[in-house]
Amino acid sequence: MIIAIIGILVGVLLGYFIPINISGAFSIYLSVAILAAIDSLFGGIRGNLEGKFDSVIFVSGFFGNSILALSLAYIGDQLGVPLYYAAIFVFGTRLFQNFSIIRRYMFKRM
Amino acid sequence: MFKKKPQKTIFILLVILGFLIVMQYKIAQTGMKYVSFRDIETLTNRIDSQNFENQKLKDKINSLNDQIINYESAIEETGNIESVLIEDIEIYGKISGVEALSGPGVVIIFTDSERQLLDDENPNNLLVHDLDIQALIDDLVSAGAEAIAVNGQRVIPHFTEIVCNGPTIRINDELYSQPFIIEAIGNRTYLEAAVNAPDKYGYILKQWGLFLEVNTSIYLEIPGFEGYRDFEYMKTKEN
Repeated sequence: MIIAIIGILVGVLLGYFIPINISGAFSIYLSVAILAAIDSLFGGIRGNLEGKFDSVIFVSGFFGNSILALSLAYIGDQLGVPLYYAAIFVFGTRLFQNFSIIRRYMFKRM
Repeated sequence: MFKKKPQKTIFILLVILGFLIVMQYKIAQTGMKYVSFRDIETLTNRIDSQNFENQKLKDKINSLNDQIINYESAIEETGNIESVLIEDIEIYGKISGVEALSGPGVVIIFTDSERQLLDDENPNNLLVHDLDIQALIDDLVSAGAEAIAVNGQRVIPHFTEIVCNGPTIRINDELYSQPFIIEAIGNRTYLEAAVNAPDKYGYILKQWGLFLEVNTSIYLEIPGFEGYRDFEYMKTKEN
C-alpha cells in the first residue's frame, strides 16, 4: 500500500517537473489510458485480496487494456464514431464492481 | 521476473499512472479542447488555402509595385512615360484581341457527318451547330488556349457571337458555311487533348459521327479582330 502511494507520488512529481507537454489533440487518448490503468490497478488490488494476484496478468492487463482502449479511440476518431465510449463504459463499470468487492473484503477483515 | 518482485512492478506501473494523470492535468489546465483528427485536417487545409491566397495577393502587390517603379524610372529617364504606355498598349492589344498573333497550336477541321441517317433519326444529329463550336471553344479555353479564331475570325470572349443562321453560322457579323476551321494558339498537347480526350465535347461529337479532325501545328497565324466595337451602355464607374 505504501509502495503504491509512493509510486503515484513519484509519477506525479516526475510528470510535474519534466518539461513535456502533450498536444491537446491526444487528451482523449490519455484519459482513456488513465482509465484503463486505474482499472488494472483496482483489478490488481482485488486479486491481491483474493490471493490470486499474478504479476504477469497484472502487467499485461495494464498495458494491453491501455493499448486496446487507445486503438478503439483512434479507430473511432477515424470513423467519426466515438468508439472510446465503449472503453469508458467497460472500465468504469468494472472499476465500481472491483471496488465493491474490495470493500466487502475489507469489512470482512475488520 | 514479475513473480519474484511484484512490488517493484506495481511501483513502476503506478509511476506511469501518476505521470499520465499529471500530463492529462496539464492539458486540462491549458484550456485546450479535444479536437478530432478530421477537424484538424480540415482546419489545416483551410489555413493552407488561406496562406496560398495571401501569397497570391502578395504577388499581385509586388507586380503592381514593379509597375509603379517602371513608371517612375521612365519619368526619371525620359521625362515622360510614353515608352511604358506603348508597352502597355501592346499587352492590352494582345489581351483584347485586336492584334494579329502567331504561335504554336492546333487546327481543328469540323464538318457535318457523311453517314446515312438511321430510320426516324433527327437530321440535327448529323449537323454542325453553333453550340457545338461554342462548346469546342470553351474546351480549348479551359485547356489554356491563348488566342482562338474560327474561319479566320478572331474569337473575343464576351464579344464574339457564334449564332446559327440556317445552313451557315454567323461569327463576328460574317456568315460562314462549313467546313469550320478553328485555330487556337497554346500548348499543342493540351489543346489536342481538350478535343480528343474521352468525355470531352469533341470526342462526343465524333461518337455522333460528325467529322472532326485535330492537327497540331508549330506555327499558326491568327488575325486580329477587324470589326467595329462600340459600347452603348457600358460606362466606366465613377467613384
